[in-house]
Amino acid sequence: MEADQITKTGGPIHRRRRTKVLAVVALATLALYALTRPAGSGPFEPTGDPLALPPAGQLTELTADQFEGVLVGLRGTPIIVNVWASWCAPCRTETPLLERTWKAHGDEVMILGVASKDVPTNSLDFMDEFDVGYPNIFDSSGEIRSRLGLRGFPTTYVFGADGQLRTTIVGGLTEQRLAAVIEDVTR
Amino acid sequence: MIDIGLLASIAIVLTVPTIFLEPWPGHAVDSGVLDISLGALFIGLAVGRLTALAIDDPGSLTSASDVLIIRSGVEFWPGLTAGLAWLAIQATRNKVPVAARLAALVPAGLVAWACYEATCLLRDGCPGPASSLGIRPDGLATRMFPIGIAVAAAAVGSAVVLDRWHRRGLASRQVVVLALLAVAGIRAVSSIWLPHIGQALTRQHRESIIVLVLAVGLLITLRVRDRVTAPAVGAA
Repeated sequence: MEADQITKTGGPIHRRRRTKVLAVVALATLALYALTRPAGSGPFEPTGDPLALPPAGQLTELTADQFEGVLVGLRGTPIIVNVWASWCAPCRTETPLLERTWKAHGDEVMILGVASKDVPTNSLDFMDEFDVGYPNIFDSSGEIRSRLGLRGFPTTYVFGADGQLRTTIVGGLTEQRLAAVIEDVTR
Repeated sequence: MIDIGLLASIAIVLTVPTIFLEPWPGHAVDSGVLDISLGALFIGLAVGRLTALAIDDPGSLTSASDVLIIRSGVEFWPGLTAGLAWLAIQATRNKVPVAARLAALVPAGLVAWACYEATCLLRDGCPGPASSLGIRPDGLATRMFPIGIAVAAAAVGSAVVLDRWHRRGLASRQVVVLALLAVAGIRAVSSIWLPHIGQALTRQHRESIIVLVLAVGLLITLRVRDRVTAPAVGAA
């Protein structure tokens, strides 16, 4: 056993002042968070004639109406729509996770990528780099992201089997969050 | 995009231990917890982030903007190792016994970790296993047990117990190893209930089990060595 010398050092007044400043900063950050926290989901609801799902592992250019038709055609299956771009850093992290999800849960949840605000060749290179196997749509006009109400890249939209938008995840996905969403929509 | 939830979490992690915890006093900690720990925190974050990128996406290591997006992954154990190494270097420079310095910071470190885990409510809603006892993460219909809160409670409990043992005279080295064991144990056990993709153990789970085994081995070695070197009671 060793004995630690016990004395109190440091300026208590200075320390108390710094502590107060830190506490104020923390509370201000929390207040800012509460004020700016985005809502869980938006009013988007796909409509139109049902369309077939684009081929897996490929990048298919679709209009916003066609995109909605694909979502309508998939009713009965929960869908995870991930809007990404090749230049987006968090997209690089979450794409392997989505690919793993597609392989592990592809029979119960549909993963659908939407490349937007991007150059098609860059999107294709990105898909090749990460060996993406799930279907992907190219949003050349930006209309799809506009209808979805996209605020930033990446954003993931989760639709229940009933076609209703259940939740929107703005920013990078974590495995824990994605797995929880899948647990939720498949129950 | 600024991740306000993450910023709020970091602010709380930095603030709460500073407000509520007095470090184990004495020459091992000659200034505030924050003054000593801030460098270790940044070094740990940097190393944890770079390790995550090296493992998951080595191509991004050359892009500063990619590296700075901390939310997209930080490896816990390499980060913790780097932070501890930084604290050890600082202690040596200040001519303070390394084990004493680390042991003095154990309660604050565990409480800081607990704060990070508890503030999962601000980041991703703390999803855990589906449970009627749970809370409903934002946007989900299913109630899920808030596993981060349970982890935080276990970390605070460990901090209280280890602080008490340290004050009662448990050797600093043993306090440090027990803290490591507690963190590894909590992470290994909680990983069982963390939602994850597929059936295989997650990287966090595997790494925590390895650290847990190493910490148990280290603790046994320390106990045996202390017993051998301790003077025999009543020896003439």
